[in-house]
Amino acid sequence: MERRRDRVVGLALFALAAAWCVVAYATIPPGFGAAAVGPRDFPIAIGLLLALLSALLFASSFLPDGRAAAGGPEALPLDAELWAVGWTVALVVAYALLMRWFGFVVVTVIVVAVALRLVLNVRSPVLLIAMPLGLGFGIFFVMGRLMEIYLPRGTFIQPF
Amino acid sequence: MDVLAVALAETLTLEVFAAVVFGSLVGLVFGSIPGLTFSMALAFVLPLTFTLPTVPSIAMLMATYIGGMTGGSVSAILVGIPGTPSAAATVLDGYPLARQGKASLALGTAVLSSCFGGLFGLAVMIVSVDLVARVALAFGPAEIFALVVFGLSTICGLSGPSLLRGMIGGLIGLLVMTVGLDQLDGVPRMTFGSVIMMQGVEILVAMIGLFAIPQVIQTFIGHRLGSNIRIEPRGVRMELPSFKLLRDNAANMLRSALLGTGIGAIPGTGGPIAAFLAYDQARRFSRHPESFGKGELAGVVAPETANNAVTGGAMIPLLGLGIPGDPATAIILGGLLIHGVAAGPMLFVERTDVVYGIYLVIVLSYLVVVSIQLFGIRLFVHVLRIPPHILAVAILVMCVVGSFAIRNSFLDVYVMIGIGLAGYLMQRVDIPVTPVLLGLVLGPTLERELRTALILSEGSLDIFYTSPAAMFFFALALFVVALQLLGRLRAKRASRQEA
Repeated sequence: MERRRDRVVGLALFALAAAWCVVAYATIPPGFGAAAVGPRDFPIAIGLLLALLSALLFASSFLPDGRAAAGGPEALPLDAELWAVGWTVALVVAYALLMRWFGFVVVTVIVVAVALRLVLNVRSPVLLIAMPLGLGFGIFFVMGRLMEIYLPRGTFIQPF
Repeated sequence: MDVLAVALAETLTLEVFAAVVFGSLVGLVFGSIPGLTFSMALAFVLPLTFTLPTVPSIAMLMATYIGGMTGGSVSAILVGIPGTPSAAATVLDGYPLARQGKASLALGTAVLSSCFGGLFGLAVMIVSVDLVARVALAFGPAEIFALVVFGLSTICGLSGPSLLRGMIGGLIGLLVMTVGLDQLDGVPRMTFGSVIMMQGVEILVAMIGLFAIPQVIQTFIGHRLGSNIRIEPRGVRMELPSFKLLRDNAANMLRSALLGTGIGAIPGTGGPIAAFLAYDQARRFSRHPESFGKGELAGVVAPETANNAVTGGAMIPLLGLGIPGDPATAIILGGLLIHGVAAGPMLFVERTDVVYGIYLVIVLSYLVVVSIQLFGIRLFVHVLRIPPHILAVAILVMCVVGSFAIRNSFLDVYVMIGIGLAGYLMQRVDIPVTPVLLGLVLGPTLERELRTALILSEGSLDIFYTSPAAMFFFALALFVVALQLLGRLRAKRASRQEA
């Protein structure tokens, strides 16, 4: 199982590194003046090294003692992983998108409430009300007003 | 003596004390929130100093800098997300200690180690500012490049069981930081025509993503499966480090303080390099290196001592030569100039009262910061009583806010989640995250100094092998790598024989 995973990871990283080198060579100019190392040399060098080490990882999976890492992370149910990853990404992306339009406070209250109720299945009414409002207004007051850190005010509506 | 008396009279006032307390609090808060930096704290505080007299304004700036540097350990230990890049190494053992119910011990150790490191750096500055400044000035691009290579060699010790995976992680980190505008030539790299992408990847955003997002994902999984470990309220004990513990770590603290002061004196390097080097050295000199990464107090002592010793070291080129080593000290330099204090060699001749005042303010700042943090530990540890899944939501909010606040850019939020996702995948396929972080932190300096050195030498490698300091650091790096490889080969042979 680990050998197959190493092969997949090695191949994927090799492909990524190769693509990186090709794109870097094609899109970054070689440099100006007498500089021995231009702007594209470092990214290409790192890409080549990554390709080499990825190939080594792939090759090592065929050796008799090819599993370099002992143990490995515990196996998790795939549906639970996909659920958690999906919700995390969705919450963050939605948070950023909506914040641009509706401002920090409103969106924070909504996103936290959704996370608590829909994702974590929290049922306590006190928590469902207090935490979204507390985080939204608390961070707005402390960071936005006291610390004078800019928090988005929204382009569609600007309640605060 | 008269000058010292004048400095004492000017420093030991209620106004200066209030400025120090305010600056320390601001610095601590900014430093402990991932995404907010002590540079931002200094920028926030600087306009407030315009109306203050010289000494209180310098006091406020210094206290903010010191508070910010020590504040990073709070979130590093409590929630596993470093508040500042300098606190990244503290996560490795500080967070496991918190999960074992020893958060207050870890926080207390971090605070006292920070104080020792800072005061040690100050002592070195007082005794040898001229000498250290001259040595630091002799560090050119070749020497700094060699130092960074030595810093990267610590990847070998931080790779876990697989050196190959660790090196792959380090290369991924180096690769990510090349995206954006090239530092020297200003050409866009891997931006695909996007103007927004030209701003590149901000190191703090990458750090937040790497540390926080995998943790949030794992907490959500644990909640769904009902397997999240919650620390029992009685498990959160109020426990401060004993004198015996500090005595047992005396050599570690001294070594880390020397490292931090030396590295801090070199402009352009800083806390993260010092912290990781100190951590690696602590592990190397330990009788139980296998305990590092699992909640070893020495793994908290070393990086916290080193990254605060950097503050004293950074004052050496700042005050002695008028050269700021990073954005934070540049803001301090600006603050000094606004009040008519010109940093440089003549400062020590013409304004000795200001110099002594700065020394006294640094001592006062550390005493105030330590007092605030030791008092605050009782409150901080209550964070651990919050159920992990509830805390995960709050962490997610702070990640988004912190990522956005750095450059007021929504792209940074998307980059944060992207890097976070990649970090989670890397953990799942056994690629350690710490080398990735090292690559992210050291990559820009590595490339910049290499290319600058080669420009100065017109492409010749002479500039490296004619520099004793550079060759010394290269040799050290080779030595570290060789030691690691030998150790792994021996361990492999021993396990084969047992089998």
